[in-house]
Amino acid sequence: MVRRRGRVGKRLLAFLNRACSLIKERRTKSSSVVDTRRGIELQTREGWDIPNSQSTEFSMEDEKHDANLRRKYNQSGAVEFRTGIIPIYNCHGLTFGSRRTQIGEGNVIRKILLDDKYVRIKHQEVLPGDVVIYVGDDGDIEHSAVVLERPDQQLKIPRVLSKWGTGAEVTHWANQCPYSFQSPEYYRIIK
Amino acid sequence: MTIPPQVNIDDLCQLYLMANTPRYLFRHLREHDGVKWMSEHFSIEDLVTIYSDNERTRKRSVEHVAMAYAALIALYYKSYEKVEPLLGALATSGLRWAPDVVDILRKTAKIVSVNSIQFSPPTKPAVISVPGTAGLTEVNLETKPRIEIVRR
Repeated sequence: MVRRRGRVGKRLLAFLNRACSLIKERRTKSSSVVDTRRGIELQTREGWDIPNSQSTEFSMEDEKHDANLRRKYNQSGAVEFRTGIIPIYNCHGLTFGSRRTQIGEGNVIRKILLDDKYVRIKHQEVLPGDVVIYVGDDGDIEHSAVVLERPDQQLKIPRVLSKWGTGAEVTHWANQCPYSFQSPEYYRIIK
Repeated sequence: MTIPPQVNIDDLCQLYLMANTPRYLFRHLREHDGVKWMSEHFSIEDLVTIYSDNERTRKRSVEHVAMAYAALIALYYKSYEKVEPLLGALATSGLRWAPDVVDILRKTAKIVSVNSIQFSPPTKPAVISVPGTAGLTEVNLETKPRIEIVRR
């Protein structure tokens, strides 16, 4: 009986020590500057680890910035803001990461396109569900979006859903956004 | 945090919020008038202090982060020889894209060098634009028979 109590006591003590150190760790994390590099396990179809980050780089959100952006881009009513500021994921995180995290590098997007077997689609053959990447003059893939509607007959511009940085999710004409639409590339997974 | 109106912090905040990649942020902030103003009116030490003060703020707002990146990227317009020793520490600071921005700063470093080439007979003054690798490139021809190539 005494031995059993001794064992139980040791286990209880070990458990309490572990719980205390976990609490200390959480207190330290919550009171320190926010962690900007924590990511999740995310892989391509080929098992390649996708670098990502769930940024909580700022802890105080100001609706003023959200309002400024809406005022600037929604004058014609063609741009629709679906959400407010959500810093956890960016455009590539929406397009390729199911809204779970930020994916920040253009070369990473190329790797995802390759590993996940995306096939490039001609502009005339774009369908809802395809993804579009916006390639800047320097080759940086500065934005990505999901096609909602085929390109319209006259302007040949599709309607898309995208995430504007750490800001809001927005539906818009593909060329009505703060990113370069000079060299869009459309992709689809067909198998 | 007192921010000069010339910096146009609301604009910087929007650029920061809309940036999906560090290169986008770097390119747009570098060309922003407020960042150029900061590079003209603050020393390297001032910019590093602005960066550190904002980066280390416990409960950062969007303004803190935008100002920090603006100060960091304003270093682009400073003498690289003086900025380079600080980049290692800046790269390991707490902002998400600090390492990437520092990497871009290193790659687009401004190099000032002068090469002299003698010509005869003397040539008239003229300006020739020479494709540069990064930043600006100027070619000045003086009345003396030589060409100065200044790469910035």
